Amino acid sequence: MNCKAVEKRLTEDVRTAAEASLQQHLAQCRGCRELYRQLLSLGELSGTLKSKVEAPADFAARVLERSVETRPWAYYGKPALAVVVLVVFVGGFLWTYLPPGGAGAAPAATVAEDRQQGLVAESGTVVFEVSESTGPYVDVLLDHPADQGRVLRLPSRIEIRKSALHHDSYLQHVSY
Amino acid sequence: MWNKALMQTDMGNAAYADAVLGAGDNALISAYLKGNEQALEMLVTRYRDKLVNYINNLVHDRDVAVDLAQEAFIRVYRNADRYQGQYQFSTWLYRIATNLAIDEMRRRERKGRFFFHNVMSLFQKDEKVYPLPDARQCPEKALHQKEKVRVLQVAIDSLPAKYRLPFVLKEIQDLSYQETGQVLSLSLGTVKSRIHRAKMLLREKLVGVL
Repeated sequence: MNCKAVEKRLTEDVRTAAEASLQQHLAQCRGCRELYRQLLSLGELSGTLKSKVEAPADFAARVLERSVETRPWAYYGKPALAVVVLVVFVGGFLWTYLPPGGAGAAPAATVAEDRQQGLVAESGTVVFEVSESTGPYVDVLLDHPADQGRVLRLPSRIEIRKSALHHDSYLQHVSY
Repeated sequence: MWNKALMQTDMGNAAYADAVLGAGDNALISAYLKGNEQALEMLVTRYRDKLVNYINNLVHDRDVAVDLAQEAFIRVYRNADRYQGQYQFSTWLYRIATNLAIDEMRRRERKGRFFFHNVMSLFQKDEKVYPLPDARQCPEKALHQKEKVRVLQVAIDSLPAKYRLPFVLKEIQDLSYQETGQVLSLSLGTVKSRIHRAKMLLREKLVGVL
């Protein structure tokens, strides 16, 4: 057995030094004897690190306490709630501001055109939604003589209520 | 709270308490999965000191070691139903603890307050040796046992992680080569080779101490 093989055997398990073949080599090889002595010392010294610290007395109770605190619904509760809020917020934003067709300026529309489409009810409450709208706003060209040439910028989804008392229309609710 | 006397009181069955106390780890896990929470408590009691000591040997902060050991048990508690039993329970537990300790060392490194010299070896294939100051100038007799242990600890810490972790598991935690390989997901041959290398590096670093 050569020194390399002895070194390998001793580092794997220093107790193999008791084997006859290793004993024979150690008796003749000063270097391997020194290695054996150092490995014994290293093992002894390493042994002192085996019980350097101990768990505190309330360790198990604390684990139980923390395990209750971190049951799945408690552990994932906050992140899950944050995800739900984020999804609702982002979804609402996209639904409101990015209608199908992509973002951009809404095409101009006139009240007259909308009336032709029958979107404004004569009474009660209706939701006014410009189907061609591709953005968050719709520009309404006012056709009253007093407002000639003026453009009213409105959200693309609005709620209009017909007033039975005064027989006119007014904005009831803006949906964004 | 989880001592044998309480188990007897609570369950009214001393024979059962004895059986649980003497049961193997896998039997305790099985008992826990069948609804006996005290079985898991027994496992905590069985491994708490070993685990705290193991993690402390890696992070050198007892409070952090206790916290991480508790976290390891909580993960066992939470994932016990996934335990397949192909490895020993202790292997599974040490694997969880090792990952937590490595995460902690990386976290410290990111925060720039980690005191290990070689934590970067967690990220690099680092063969570099970080020698201690030459101890040969110190008369061996002057090094008291406590100081020797401290020097050994520094030397172990200076080992690249790929040598340090197998060495600590095998030589300090007394795991077998096979268990060490299972904890670190390494083959038996690789574990033996790395522990051999770790010992030879320590031998070089601890000249005059050993």
